[in-house]
Amino acid sequence: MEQPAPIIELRDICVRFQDGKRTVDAVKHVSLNVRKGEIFGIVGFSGAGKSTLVRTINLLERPSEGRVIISGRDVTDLRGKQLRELRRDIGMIFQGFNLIGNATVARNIAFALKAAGVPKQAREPRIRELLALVGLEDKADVYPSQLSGGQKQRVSIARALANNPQILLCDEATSALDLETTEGILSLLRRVNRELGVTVVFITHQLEVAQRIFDRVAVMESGRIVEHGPTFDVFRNPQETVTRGLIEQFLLSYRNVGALLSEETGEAA
Amino acid sequence: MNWQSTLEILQDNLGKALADTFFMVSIATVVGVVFGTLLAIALFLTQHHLFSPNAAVNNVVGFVVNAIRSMPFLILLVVLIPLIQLIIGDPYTPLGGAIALSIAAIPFFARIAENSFTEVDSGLIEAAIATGAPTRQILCDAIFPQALPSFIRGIVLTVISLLGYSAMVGTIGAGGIGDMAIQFGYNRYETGVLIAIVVLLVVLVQVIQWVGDLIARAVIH
Ligand SMILES: Nc1ncnc2c1ncn2[C@@H]1O[C@H](COP(=O)(O)OP(=O)(O)OP(=O)(O)O)[C@@H](O)[C@H]1O
Ligand SMILES: [Mg+2]
Repeated sequence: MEQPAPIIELRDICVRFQDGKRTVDAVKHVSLNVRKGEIFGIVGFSGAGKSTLVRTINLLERPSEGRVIISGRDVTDLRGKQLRELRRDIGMIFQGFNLIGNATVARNIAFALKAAGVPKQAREPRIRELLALVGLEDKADVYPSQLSGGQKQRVSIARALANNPQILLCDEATSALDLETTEGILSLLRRVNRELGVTVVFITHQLEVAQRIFDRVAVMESGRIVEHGPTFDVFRNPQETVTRGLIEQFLLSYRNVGALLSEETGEAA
Repeated sequence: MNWQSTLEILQDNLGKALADTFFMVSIATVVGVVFGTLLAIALFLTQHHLFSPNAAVNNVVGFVVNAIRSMPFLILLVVLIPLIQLIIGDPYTPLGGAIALSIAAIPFFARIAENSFTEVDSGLIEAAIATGAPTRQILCDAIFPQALPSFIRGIVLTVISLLGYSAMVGTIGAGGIGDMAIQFGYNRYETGVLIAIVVLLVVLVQVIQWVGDLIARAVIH
């Protein structure tokens, strides 16, 4: 099979934090390629370094070592205006939604458009378009506190997609949501991926999410990627203790909520 | 206690005293909020790792702010008198009082505003940065609206503190209701005047607090 060129290339990334006197190696020599158009997942237990790794992609975290290459261009040392331009091309959504609570849905989305220099009169039609995409046409003038978790995440997806990014980073985007809402967000993200061609990098510790939408997956443990490959292969034939641990945890929760998950869960792989 | 003379004194002096107090407190509030906010922005941006971390600038600004704040207002006032004299001539006027109050108000409000900025959820700030927005937009359209309720409470706190300080300015003869309390209530044993002013201050503070809370609540969504 022909391999499309990587849209994201992380080369030997290390991220070190200085926590008082202690040095924390959150990410240790990670290299990975994300292919254009795929949904790439990163799984691992809490503290594994998933968020830190993904945040180097839009340079919310600057790697202590290594290079970040986006669409063939080394962006590791970008600053100022060029860095802002890069970030407009990489949307990001979070577990906590991170909307401006004191601004309406429309203004939250307008924020991203303004960041890209979209003139005022062009913002409103674009906001309507985005709200239609995420299924919240009637919520433009509502404040986030009046929305459910799933709706808030939809707004944050609209904000992240406002400037037609090539890449969407999702940090535990469904971890604060119940199963049904999660399903809705996942199918929206899959649609964004298929129809708009947005490459998605998705962090989660929920395997039920992973197996539903990831094309390929990397398993992280204490700052390293210990295993990666097509999702189906990795989960069917786990090589590492962590991966087995994650699967075990998933199976336990599967047994508990068994009735809620049907046979079709194997479909995404 | 002589009700007749108390009433007369109040009638003759209270209006002017209130006007002077209002003049001093409002000038100091405006100056304090404007310049304090600017200092707060400098402090906030230079300590935040995603904006412009700069320990040197942060320490210098922080030191100046703390230095002024650590001085009891009465001592600051005494230190400022020659300076005010240099600027406007007679420091023992409402304008002189307003200048002294303003200088106290700036660092006072700077810390309050800095606090209300740092209280803003860091996730929100990251999300804003991730959109590629410039710092100015992040400040004006994300951080500031989010900090607004606590910012307004900070203004109320500042106004109330300044009202207290303005009474101290009165003790050196710069006018206002503090001045009036000293002149009549203390120097001339007019206890009635003193009581009236105390009651007035209590009511004033309550009203300011009440209005401030109303506004702060109105801007939360
Ligand atoms: N700013 C920071 N300063 C110091 N240590 C940090 C910082 N950010 C993260 N760390 C540490 O780095 C390690 C990796 O954190 P990270 O948030 O990337 O993990 P994660 O896999 O995303 O975990 P979770 O599933 O809980 O979100 C943790 O040990 C964390 O305590
Ligand atoms: Mg995380």
